[in-house]
Amino acid sequence: MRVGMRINGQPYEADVEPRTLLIDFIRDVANMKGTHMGCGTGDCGACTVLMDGRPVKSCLVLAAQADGSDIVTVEGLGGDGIAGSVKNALARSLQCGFCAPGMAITATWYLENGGEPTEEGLRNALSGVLCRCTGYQPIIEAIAEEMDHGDR
Amino acid sequence: MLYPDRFEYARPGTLEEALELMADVRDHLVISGGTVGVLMLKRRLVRPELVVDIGRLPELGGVDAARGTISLGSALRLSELEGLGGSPALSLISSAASSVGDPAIRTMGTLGGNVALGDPSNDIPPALIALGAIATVVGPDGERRVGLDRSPLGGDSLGRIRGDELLVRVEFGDLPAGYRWYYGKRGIRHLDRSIANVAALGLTVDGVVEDLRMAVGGSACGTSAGLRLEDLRGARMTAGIADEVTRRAMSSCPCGGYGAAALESLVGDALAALGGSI
Amino acid sequence: MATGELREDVLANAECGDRPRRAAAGAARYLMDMDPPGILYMEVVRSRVARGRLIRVSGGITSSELRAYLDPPGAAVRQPVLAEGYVSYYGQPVAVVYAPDAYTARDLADSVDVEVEPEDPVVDVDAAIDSPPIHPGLANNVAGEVELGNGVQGGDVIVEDVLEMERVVPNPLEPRGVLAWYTGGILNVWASTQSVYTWRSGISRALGIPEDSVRVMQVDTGGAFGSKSAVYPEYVAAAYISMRTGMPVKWVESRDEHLAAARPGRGARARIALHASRDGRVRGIDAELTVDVGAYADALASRSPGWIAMQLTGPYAIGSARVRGMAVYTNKAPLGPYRGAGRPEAAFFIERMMDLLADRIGMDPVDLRLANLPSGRFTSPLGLTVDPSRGFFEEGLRRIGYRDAAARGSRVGVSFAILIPAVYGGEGARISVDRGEVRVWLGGTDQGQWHSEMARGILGRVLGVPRDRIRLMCGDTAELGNGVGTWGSRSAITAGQALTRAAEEIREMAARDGRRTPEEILEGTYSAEVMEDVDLDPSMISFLLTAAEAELRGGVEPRIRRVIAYYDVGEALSPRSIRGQIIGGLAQASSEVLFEAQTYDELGVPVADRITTAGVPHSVDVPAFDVHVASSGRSAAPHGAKGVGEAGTVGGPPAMARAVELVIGRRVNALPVFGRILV
Repeated sequence: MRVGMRINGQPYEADVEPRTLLIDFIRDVANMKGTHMGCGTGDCGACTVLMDGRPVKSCLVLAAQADGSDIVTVEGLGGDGIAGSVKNALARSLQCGFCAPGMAITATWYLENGGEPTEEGLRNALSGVLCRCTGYQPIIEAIAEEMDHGDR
Repeated sequence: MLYPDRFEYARPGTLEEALELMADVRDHLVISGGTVGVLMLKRRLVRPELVVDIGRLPELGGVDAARGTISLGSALRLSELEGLGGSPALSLISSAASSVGDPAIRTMGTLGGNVALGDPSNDIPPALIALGAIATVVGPDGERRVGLDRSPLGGDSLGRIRGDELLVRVEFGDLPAGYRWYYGKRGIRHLDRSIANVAALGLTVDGVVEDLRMAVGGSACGTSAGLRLEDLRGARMTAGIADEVTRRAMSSCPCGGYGAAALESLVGDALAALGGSI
Repeated sequence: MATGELREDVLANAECGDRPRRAAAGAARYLMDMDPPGILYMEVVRSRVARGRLIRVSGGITSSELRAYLDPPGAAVRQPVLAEGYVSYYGQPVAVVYAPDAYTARDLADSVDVEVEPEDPVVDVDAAIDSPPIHPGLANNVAGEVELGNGVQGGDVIVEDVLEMERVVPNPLEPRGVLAWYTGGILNVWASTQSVYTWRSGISRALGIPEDSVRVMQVDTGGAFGSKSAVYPEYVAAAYISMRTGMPVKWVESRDEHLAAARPGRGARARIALHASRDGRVRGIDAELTVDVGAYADALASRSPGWIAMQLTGPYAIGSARVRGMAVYTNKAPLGPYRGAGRPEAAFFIERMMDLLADRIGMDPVDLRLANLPSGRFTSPLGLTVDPSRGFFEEGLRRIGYRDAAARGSRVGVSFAILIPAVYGGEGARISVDRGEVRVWLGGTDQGQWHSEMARGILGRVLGVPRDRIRLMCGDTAELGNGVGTWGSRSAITAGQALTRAAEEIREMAARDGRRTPEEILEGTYSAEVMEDVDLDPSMISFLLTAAEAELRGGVEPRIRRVIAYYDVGEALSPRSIRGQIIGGLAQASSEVLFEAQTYDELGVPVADRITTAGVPHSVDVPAFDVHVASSGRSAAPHGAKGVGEAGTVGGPPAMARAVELVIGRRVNALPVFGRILV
């Protein structure tokens, strides 16, 4: 079946099997490898992208369900403003980097939609993104610090 | 890697089309948000010929609050339910919805998915049971209404939805300001099934219980269930009443050990939130 | 035989050191991201029973075609790459299939029928000791046996308990994976790995091909924690398919495969008694250790009882001990290293008993510990030599505020632990100075440990070279011929020492050319490659002081609220990396104590099939961490550093278990609390 969507502002359309997952449409049709498959069951969030402005776990969405939608992946977040602050924070707090898509997308979305850059707010917002390496605290601290610097 | 088996996919434009498809192709799976259905497909627990996507059906959307009755469409996303408020009933629903999973799960997950599949640890069913909601289910023989004041929809319950039916909406009476509400749950790991959950509503005026409703659920309970509490109306809210409510909650859930302790603590929290002097 | 074209960019050795920045931009490239032309996807058909006679496999490549074994030195029984005649654990590879796309490969795998005549699995270690062997040809299910010590000197007070740690699956966020491409007579292997060397030797050995015909290249690796050190059957199978087809073959596991078939760690039990005098001085330890090694055991697993036993006295001066240890086969996935690998077990066992003793005689648990520390270098009857640590722990207690009762809180769990780095084997390093740039290769790969920071620190000190000129490259057997790997908290000491020596060589070479300043050195072209032997010196052992507080949510749900670590790192080579390693390890400790485990039902089927059920903690699950990077003195390594990678998983669990038992009012002698204590 024909499935089409915008990914990071560019249109992509392809003939895919109905069972094709959104994550595979992003990684293989659009050839964007920044979004990762960590668990396959929607628990780890490494596959998180924005769909029509909200975070979704792309490993649990059929590409067909995303037909006609606007997708933003970690590659498409840009380097300005809040997204830039989040990226800078991650660049100095990540260890293995595999959770980056989930952290970057979710934190950026949360902060851009009025979320408070507090320890508690960020910790709750990131509750669906697993990180096995850092224990979360360095990431949360770094994001809060970057947001604080951004204000000055 | 987890990939579904092959299937055909259809996204009908109307409820009628959806029901026709479901009748034509018996070997089908309905998905609305997909957070449950797509996972079942990936694990190959089901291998339907056809997947019917009802997530964008206009008849299944929307919040309607007219003349004291609130109607919620089954395809409403949990993130949309999270944003509800302005009345005790909607606040209870919002609180339960915001407990489901995490923000990304709530973007896709729907009211229907959380209510119609019979998972005892789901968050919305106890809230609907406490609200005495009525579900509208539609099938090839037309519409039927299922009351949810005691028991959940879906799964093994008497109110279960048949394979050729769809949940369209749930309705419940709005409640006046003055009602307090509570939703809480206890689990072990985040995103894992909750062991026990409690939804409660109450109105206490000058220390007298005008109304008190509670539903309990969780994996330790094995189902969601509404408690019979009507006989307590008119009583003064005392420690004795609290104990009686707790006793009824515990006896409706045949669990022991940590599950029982978790449930008991939630019932205590609920009663405290409802403002009794305990 | 068709061959794909091996492009230069695919073969080029990439930079691994700047991964966080690249990952934040979505530009990191992990194994699953590699898609060379002509790629074939491999899927594994696995046993769905824990034990049985293999009757028939309807398709795919089986052991009748691929007759290969994992045969690590010291293994009593070789694990066949693909099951041969019988299956011994749920998830054991039985056959492999491949297809040009991943979805079809999954379909193919599902279409293969595996007929097994099930037998009663051996799931319990005590039953295993009494049962006939699960492997024909062995006498019993004992994979290793050891007895250490000089006999137990009795005491007026005896405290006894049975302590258990359930198996824990490493669960790095990036699953295991491999890309193999046999072309031009070379088996090229791209690896998500802790060591390109173990893979080179393990794969070449299993396939019976010369080691120098195998090139292993690390790619961006998303964590490992022990699960990516040794060779797995799946890597050998992928390599074989590539040798058969001449095409690139990729295998990436799904999470449920990781939970069933990647090697879990822990799985240890101690029946243990402390003999003490009434003043709290511990006179002797009497213990019986049992480790559940699963269906196959390499040397590490079968020797783990002895390794745990050796550390049972911890930092203390305990003069007598008798420890018997047994590694036991069961019908479960083979045991492997998981962050700490024997050290957390030893620390948990002795520290839980110290708390029990303190409670029994009514002594403060911290004072009891201090009273048992040696006043000079001490060699235990179990073969461990430790330096005195009283000064370190007392300073630590002051710094974390333990002595201020008001600040401390009433329900604090404390542990004193040691961390022995796995320095055996030493390490290799290579430095290349060329065109103003310094490239570094270390024998142990970086899966998130910020080795680049250590490299920058060392090269800055020895050569004065600025940070931005230094690039840490991915592991590659073609670029650095000899090395060991990253595990066992060894990198700071071994890789650090090798890198220091290589940098000193560069400095000497440059000095002979009259180049002394960093700018001058960078103008030249120099190369140094070293393989350093490192012997364990007691000064390399770190001391770990951990304090934890728990709370009871809703009066019923225990959670760890806060953890304070005062950890000895010797000379701190890179504070940010150190802090990251400590916090990461403490987070894993917190879930290991409360709710993280892989357990098995009575049929030997693993219970957890998704990452959240296995208990990997989310952000809202972990406590607050307060880390003090401390030093008890320099280690004997030239740069004075000590290991740190596993510190959190060693020091954390006993302190956290104590904190939890104080709030729930019940003895925590088995982990995880949810499941073993709260049921």
